[in-house]
Amino acid sequence: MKNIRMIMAYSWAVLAVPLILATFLGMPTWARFLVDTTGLKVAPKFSGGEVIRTIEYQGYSTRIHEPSFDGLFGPCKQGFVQIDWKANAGSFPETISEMIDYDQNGTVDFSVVIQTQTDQVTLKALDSPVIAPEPLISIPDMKILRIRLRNP
Amino acid sequence: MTERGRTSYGCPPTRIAWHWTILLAVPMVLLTAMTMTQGQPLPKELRLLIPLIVSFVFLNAMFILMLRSGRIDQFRSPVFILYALGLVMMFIPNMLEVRGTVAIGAEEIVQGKVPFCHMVIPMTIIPAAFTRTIIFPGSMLEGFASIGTMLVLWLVVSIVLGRGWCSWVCFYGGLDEGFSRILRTPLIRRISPTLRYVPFAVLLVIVLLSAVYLTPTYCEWLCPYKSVTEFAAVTDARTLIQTVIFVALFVGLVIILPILTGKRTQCGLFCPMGAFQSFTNKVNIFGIRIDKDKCIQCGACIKACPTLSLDQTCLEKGSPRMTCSKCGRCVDVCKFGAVSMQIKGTPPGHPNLGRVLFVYPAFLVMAIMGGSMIQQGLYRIILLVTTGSLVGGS
Ligand code: SF4
Ligand code: SF4
Repeated sequence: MKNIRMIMAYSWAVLAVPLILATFLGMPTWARFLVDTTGLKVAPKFSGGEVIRTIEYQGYSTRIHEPSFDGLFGPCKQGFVQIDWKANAGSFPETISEMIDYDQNGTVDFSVVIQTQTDQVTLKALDSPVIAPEPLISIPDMKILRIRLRNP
Repeated sequence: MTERGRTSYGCPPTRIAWHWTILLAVPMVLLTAMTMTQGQPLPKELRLLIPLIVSFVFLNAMFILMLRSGRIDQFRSPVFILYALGLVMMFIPNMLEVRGTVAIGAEEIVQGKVPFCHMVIPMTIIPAAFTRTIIFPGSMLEGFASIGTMLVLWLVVSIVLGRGWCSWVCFYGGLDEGFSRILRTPLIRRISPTLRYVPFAVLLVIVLLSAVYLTPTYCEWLCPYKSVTEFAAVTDARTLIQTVIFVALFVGLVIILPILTGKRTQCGLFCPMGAFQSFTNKVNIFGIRIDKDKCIQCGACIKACPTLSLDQTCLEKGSPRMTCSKCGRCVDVCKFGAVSMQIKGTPPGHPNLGRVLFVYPAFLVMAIMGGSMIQQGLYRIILLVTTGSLVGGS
């Protein structure tokens, strides 16, 4: 029994080097395997959540993310929905004006107007779960807006 | 395989004969050559070639001396310290080139462009178990230091080295280690043993808070290393307070206290990742063994241990506390050959076998990760000297 334990211990110690090498050499494969098998994703709080709808307009497209009410043990009382506007050819029209039905129930939830030169946002809630917008994030080719929501 | 070295008293560390040393070093030379060049021909530009050659020679010289001398820490420590300095020298100019600032803005966060760091791992476990999401603004698979890559690296290194992570792999640990080595005789010699439990308390608090708020609390509020990597852009009172905390903790725990105590105070007395990593020592095959027959209880190893992982009870028990980071300093300082690196489950009496089998994978990870950091750090220094700027170049 002692000998078997000893052989196993030495074998394990010797295997350490090939294990390290295999890890570094196959890193992209192992990383993908880990992510695929666990199904782990970046939390919506940081990623904005899955894009559930994309609407194409002349010069830009609007991407509506899945509303997120993430809590540890289940949905929270408050959350947000993220909307991205992506310029197709590098620049936006001067004004973006849009009616958003984020939960796709056929009723408009809020209207939003963005002055793209000044990044001024005007949001009008048309449905009770909408609380308020967060500051607009502006990056080249993209405007990102999160709207805080009450969980209906 | 061994020959006796010269020391003034007691048993010296057992050296390995030169022919064995060379034979054992050849695979490491080839592996480091392969990983450092990434299988590409040598660069023609001198500014790239010099750092490559210097770091390659330095790493292999340290490894050969480590094998030959029978010592571990004496030749691990310089690599580990330069690795951490290389990270800082590489990271800051890199971020300045990529995004024009080291500050993380809301843009980087929503685009998942923040490099993942192992410090976050303990905080991600409970949220990942309940929500199957990682509470970090990075990318699962894309870009520099993706979440998937870092998780794989951490998993494998934890299995192979346990908390050896903290003396061979962590790209921050070399900073407080470097400062802890500045004074030959520390000015503060007595540290209350109770303080050893602080990292576990910090771990518990940040894990719970992160689970409740689904946000990496330690990174947001407490990580001293934000000061030398990246932190949220100061835009309001909250981000200002966070930045003040980061800088204060860095100056206190990574610079001043290590200088005064000669200990790795951030790693031994605060870091929650270090505390978390201690648990992986339990499932790891390598460990420190103290031979009670050879030990004369002089306490040299207790004094030398940088993470306060040794005390009188350990000498009686024959092994260090679970916080041991396998730096090997206790092996080096014991003049009586009582302390050795062991493979758990094997009989005592083969100190060199255990040492070589441990330092091989440990040094390999450090060389792969640290080699490129040292190389890039050197490149930035050469860039600074030749162009007057840390950014730009090829
Ligand atoms: S204790 Fe923390 S900072 Fe220190 S080496 Fe370990 S993980 Fe890195
Ligand atoms: S017990 Fe020895 S190997 Fe472990 S941390 Fe202390 S000095 Fe380093």
